[in-house]
Amino acid sequence: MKLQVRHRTHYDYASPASLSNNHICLQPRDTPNQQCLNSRVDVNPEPKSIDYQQDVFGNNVLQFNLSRHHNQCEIIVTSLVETADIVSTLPESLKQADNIARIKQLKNNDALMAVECLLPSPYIQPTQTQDHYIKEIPLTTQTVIEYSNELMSHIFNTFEYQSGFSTLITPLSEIYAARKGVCQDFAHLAISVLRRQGIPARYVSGYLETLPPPGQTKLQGADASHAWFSVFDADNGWFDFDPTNNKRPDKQYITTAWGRDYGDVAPVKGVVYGGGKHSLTVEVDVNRTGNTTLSQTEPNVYARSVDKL
Amino acid sequence: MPLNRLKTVSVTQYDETLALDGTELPNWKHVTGELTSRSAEQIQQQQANIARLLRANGIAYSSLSDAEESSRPWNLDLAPFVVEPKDWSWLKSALDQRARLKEAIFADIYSDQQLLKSGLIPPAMIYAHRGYLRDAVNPNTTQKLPLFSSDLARTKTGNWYVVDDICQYPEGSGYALENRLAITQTTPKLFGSSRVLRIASYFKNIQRYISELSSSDDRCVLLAPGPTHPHYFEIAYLAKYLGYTLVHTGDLTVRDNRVFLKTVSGLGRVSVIFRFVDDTNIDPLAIGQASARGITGLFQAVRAGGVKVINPLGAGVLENPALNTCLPELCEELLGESLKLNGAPTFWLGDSEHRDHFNSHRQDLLVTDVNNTNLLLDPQRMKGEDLELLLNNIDRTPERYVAFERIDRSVAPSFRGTELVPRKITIRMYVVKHEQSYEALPGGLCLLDSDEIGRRPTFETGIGSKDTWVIADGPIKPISLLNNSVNASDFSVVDGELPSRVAENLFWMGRNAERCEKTLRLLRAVLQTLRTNTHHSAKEFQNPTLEALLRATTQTTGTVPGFIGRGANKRLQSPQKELLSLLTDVNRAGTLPYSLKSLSRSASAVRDRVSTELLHVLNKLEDTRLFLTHKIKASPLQEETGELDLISGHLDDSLMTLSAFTGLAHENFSHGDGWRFMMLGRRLERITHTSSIINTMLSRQHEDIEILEALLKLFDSSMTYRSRYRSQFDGYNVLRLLLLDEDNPRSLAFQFREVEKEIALLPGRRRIQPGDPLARLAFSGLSRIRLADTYALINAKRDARQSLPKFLTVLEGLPNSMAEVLSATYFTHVESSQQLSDIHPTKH
Repeated sequence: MKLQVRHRTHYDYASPASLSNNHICLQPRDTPNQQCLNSRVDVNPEPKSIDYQQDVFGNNVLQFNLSRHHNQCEIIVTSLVETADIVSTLPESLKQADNIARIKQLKNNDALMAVECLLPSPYIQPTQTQDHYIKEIPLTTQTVIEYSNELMSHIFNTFEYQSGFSTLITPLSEIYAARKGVCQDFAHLAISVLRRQGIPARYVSGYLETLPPPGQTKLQGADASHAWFSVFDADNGWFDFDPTNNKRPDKQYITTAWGRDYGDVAPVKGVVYGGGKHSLTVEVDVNRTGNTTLSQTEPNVYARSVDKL
Repeated sequence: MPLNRLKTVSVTQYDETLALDGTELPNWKHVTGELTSRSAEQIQQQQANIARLLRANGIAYSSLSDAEESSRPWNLDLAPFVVEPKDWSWLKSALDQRARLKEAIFADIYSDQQLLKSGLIPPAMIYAHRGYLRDAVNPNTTQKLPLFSSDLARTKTGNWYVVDDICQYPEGSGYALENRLAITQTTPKLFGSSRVLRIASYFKNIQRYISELSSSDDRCVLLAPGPTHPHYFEIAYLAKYLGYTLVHTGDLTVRDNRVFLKTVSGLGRVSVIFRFVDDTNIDPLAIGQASARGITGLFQAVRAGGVKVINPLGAGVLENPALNTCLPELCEELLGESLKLNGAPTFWLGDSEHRDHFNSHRQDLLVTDVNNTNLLLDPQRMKGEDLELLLNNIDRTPERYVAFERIDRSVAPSFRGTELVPRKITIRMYVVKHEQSYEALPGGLCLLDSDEIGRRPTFETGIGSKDTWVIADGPIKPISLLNNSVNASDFSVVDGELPSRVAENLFWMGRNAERCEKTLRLLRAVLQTLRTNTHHSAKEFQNPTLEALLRATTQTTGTVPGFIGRGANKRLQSPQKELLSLLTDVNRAGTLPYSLKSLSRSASAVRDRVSTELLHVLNKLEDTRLFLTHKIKASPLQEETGELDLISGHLDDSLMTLSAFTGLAHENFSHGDGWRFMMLGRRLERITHTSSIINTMLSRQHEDIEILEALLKLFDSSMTYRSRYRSQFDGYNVLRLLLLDEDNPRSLAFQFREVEKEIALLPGRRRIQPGDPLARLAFSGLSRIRLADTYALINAKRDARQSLPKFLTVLEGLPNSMAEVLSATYFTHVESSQQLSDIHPTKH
């Protein structure tokens, strides 16, 4: 299936900014299940140049700076991605200890990342919380993938999705205490439990295609970025789970990037000099398409998801 | 992982002065023999000399953030640490090997990570260390490690081992340099007769390495932490010695993958950054580096080849003590050599065998978090709860912990008072890359330590250091440090290299110096008047001159209400308490100690820009401040105590010192942009003060000769007046001299004329545009003075001077407007930054 995703980020400054440096992680990478056919970045005002590169995890990142006074900055990333469907049944998998032993023998980049994804990371520090939560879902005879699948369902069943409940800095203990959160929180929670159990787990950022209710047309900008987790099984490689929807990511999902946690794959990072107060607007559209090239999106219908800061 | 344990344990500490067979080592014998033959008086005098030299050179261990504590002298022991030739030849080859090994590891970790994949280095060991910077990984480069240092100590059996590796920058090398200069000046004979190797070669090698990295017209900057950092002075000293512009992170900006220095003449390209700041929080765009400050985009600029950083970003990962467990094997694997210099026996708790060993030998081992090695924990001494917490943390994140065997350090003779006693030592040694190998600094920083448990004698313990004398095998080739072509001892501002931040600080240094001088002059005049006024009892306090001076003091220093605001009459009746506050309260804006401290702070921020003599003068002013704030307790202004005389004496001395400051600032600074900003600061401040003082002093009904005389004295113009007018005092002539006379360097007219002249020479203004705000402001002041109707303005009769107060008020306001324009034009590069917010994924 071909999906086109358009991700627009817009900063408005109260007073002119003299310089801004920006780091963007929004262009989908290739994975065994998807191929990014085309991707374009438009920045307004236009920077002198944009640096494209791959980060340490192989994600597509880009940096640019705006060194003339500007009152706003708009970044639009449009990508065309071919996604493949997944096999619905769970594969044979390893027990936790065997998995670790096999990882040590692998000596490749995947194995290195698996080791990295066993350790705490900036957003996922070991706390009492995970120990409590682990009691609800003990690891006994399950394989790595069976356990991850159970964990996904358990989070789906015991947590309530509540948009706006958390911010980027809400600690996991608060999410756990309130049993509420958004997709990023659920992914972080699952990863913290898996790492504590000795199962390598990483954070995946991306998109999910949504369909409008029957008979209605889809609103522009109605989609959003999404996040889920992935575990490493030495025999099967990385295996994705979406605890927000209790679903294994399929052809409706687009993977943008992966890392130890949100911090490694933050979609936009930036530092601005001057500028006063700023407001941020993000708008995302994911649509099926038959095209093999990027189609121009409708201009100037901006509105949704405004965070005043 | 194999366990590497220490075999021998003997009871006594290793004595550095003795050979293994117990005989005295020859060079130690020479040095200690000479030292012990000195008399107690000689030793005390030499110790005082060292303290004076260190202070004069401005290397004082100090933290300006500390409100009251003044600069604590960096202690230097008169007795040097001696390294015998045989020890040295082994040590330098062992350090060379260790540096080559670390460089090979560095190159692998940040490129294809073969050592991690093969398991020669357990990957978790690297990933758990905060020095591993994911943005520095780049498969297309081979990282180099130009500078490397290690803290070394000796076991009881005399074997050297590494306590810590220091891999980001050569911390403390400025102290080593400073110690050497102080010791050679204090005991030149002993030094001369001991065949000590010279240390300048190390610094020349650093310069060579940097110059080979860049082409000749490229700019290298030395990146330092802010002036509140405890080692700021050392780093500023080193920058001056090496001849690199000292910058802070805020002085640099990245544009299109190139790094620029923000100067008063615009952006100047930087091609090499010699850094003395940690890289773990240097770029807000890098992974895990969240602070909004730093050099945004630096990693990308490095990757794109737009700038080179020394040591390269990410080198901190090599400081992880857990690496000690892999080094012997890595040395065989990478260099084909066996490791000469081991770390203290180390156990990495991320390894299950090592963890088991730790659990069964807990009582013999010390523990530390690899990300906080300054904190060394002794499980044996920890209380139940703390121990439980530690063990719990180890259980959750074992890869973050290492355990060490307890090993002692050797002792060397050191002075306690005037007596030589054995003290424990650790030596920091430095190497710099030269072609394929590393050259060692022949010497180092020998740190004294008394802490039983602390493995790492930090500078912060403040116990002290020793100069380290490496003894040559043969005769010494004299390399004088002073012959060093880049030893810019009285280094001044290089034109076109003036960072905006430095310009701003120089501007403030000028303003603050002028503020100090004016406050000193006012207070001195007040005290003098009080002294001659003592026959008046407090109740009949009716000396108009004194009152005018007191009111001018409040007005000029901005210490309202004081003698002009609410409650002024009461204070004028008995001014003691308010005067005491003006003389001693360092926390009240406008007081003398407050202004002295502001001067010291602005000068400290540009320490690398001012000459040694100027620093010396600043130190003396600091002494005055300490005297004022600490020594004056009760009201000094009662005649019986005699303290009035003492204080007056101090004020007189300080005025002399300030004159020296002014003179040096004039003579020892090249008259470039930096000097110009400093002088502008002075002149503008002087305009404000002069207008304000004259206005206040003449504002009351009574005006007599005494007030006019006091005015002349305040502006140091009595002599000029007498030589010019010879007649008796007359309001017209006095005001003419102080306001309108363009030849009197204390007059308002003179200040405006100078300001106008200097402004025209500021960067980017060589051709001033019509309507230029700065030029207009300066000209409006000068023309007001030149066009003044002298009869109405400065009539000898007070009542006829209708226009004077307004005239002065207008002039008083001009400097602030000019300072605003200066700031907007030259200092605004110092703009605040903020992190852009991010929206987080919210998909259901």
